[in-house]
Amino acid sequence: MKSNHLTDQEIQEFLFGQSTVDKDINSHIESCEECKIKIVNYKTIAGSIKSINSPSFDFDLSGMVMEKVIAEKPRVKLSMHLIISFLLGVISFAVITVCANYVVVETNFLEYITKDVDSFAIIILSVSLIIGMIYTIEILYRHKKMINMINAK
Amino acid sequence: MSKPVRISNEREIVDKILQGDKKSFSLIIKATENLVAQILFKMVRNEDDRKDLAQDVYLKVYNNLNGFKFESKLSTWIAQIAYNSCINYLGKKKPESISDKFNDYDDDEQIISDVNVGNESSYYQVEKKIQGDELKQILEKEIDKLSPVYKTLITLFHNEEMSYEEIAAITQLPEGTIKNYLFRARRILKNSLLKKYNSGDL
Repeated sequence: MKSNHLTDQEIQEFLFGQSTVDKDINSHIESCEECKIKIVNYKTIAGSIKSINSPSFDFDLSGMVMEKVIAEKPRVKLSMHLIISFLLGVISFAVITVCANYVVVETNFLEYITKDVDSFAIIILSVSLIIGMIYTIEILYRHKKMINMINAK
Repeated sequence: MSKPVRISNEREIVDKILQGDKKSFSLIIKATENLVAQILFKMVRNEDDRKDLAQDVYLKVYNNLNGFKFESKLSTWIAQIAYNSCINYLGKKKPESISDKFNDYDDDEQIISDVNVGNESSYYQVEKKIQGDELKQILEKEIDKLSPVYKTLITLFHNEEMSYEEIAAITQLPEGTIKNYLFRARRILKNSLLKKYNSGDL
């Protein structure tokens, strides 16, 4: 059995520890009046705290928030704008470069694409177009979702 | 006080809101506003600031709802946003408020040294003499003197009956730190009551 009196820490651990307590501590508490008093004090405090009324807002929080939520416009993040702008810029540059060369060469478009434009430019153009399409689909999907949110009441 | 709403299926409600059913968001507010109030009342003294913060908390919740991954209870996530908003608010206030939010109670040891075991026995008698509402009122005043973080931890643990794990999720503090702060807060409360009684204030 533990011979010294329990420390505040041990008493709090015994009462609020949410884990098993040492057997020595248990048997000390059973036989020590002084430590029992300390336990009663902490129990009293804990019980009184629990019985304190919870505060509440004296205004209609739900009403105020919902007013703002319903009025809120959809927002597209700045990073998304930057990505879209960058991709559109790359695609436009690639398309303009290819078309400008086509105008200068003045030949059949299919022939021009297969013979005159080098394969590296075609790869860049294709990848840009694919990425652009994926983003466009995603933007349209998000836009549809936001429109639904705005219209919903 | 408004009656709290219970949400039986959080995932269903969140999905409904994300698909455009804005009205369902009010259910989330009604189900969690008491917990948010507990945190805001403990962390923020100014009534107008509390009002603004409460609205900001729920607007943040609404705008970030698609980021909620159901890794915790919805109420825990919302409480975490409320707590962080309060910490940011306290950080923007004057310097004394910043140091106050994590008050380390330098005078704590002084209070402790003033109290001996004999006094603690006296407190036992006090507990017998003043019970119920009176003790509750005194304790309420003593809790109010604690730092915002201590007050919040005491409230979450004793009033809301949350586990250390849940409190850690809300405050982002390590469980060991939470236990230590709670230990110190309870000890301060106990010793304040003893000191008050022994000085004849009670």
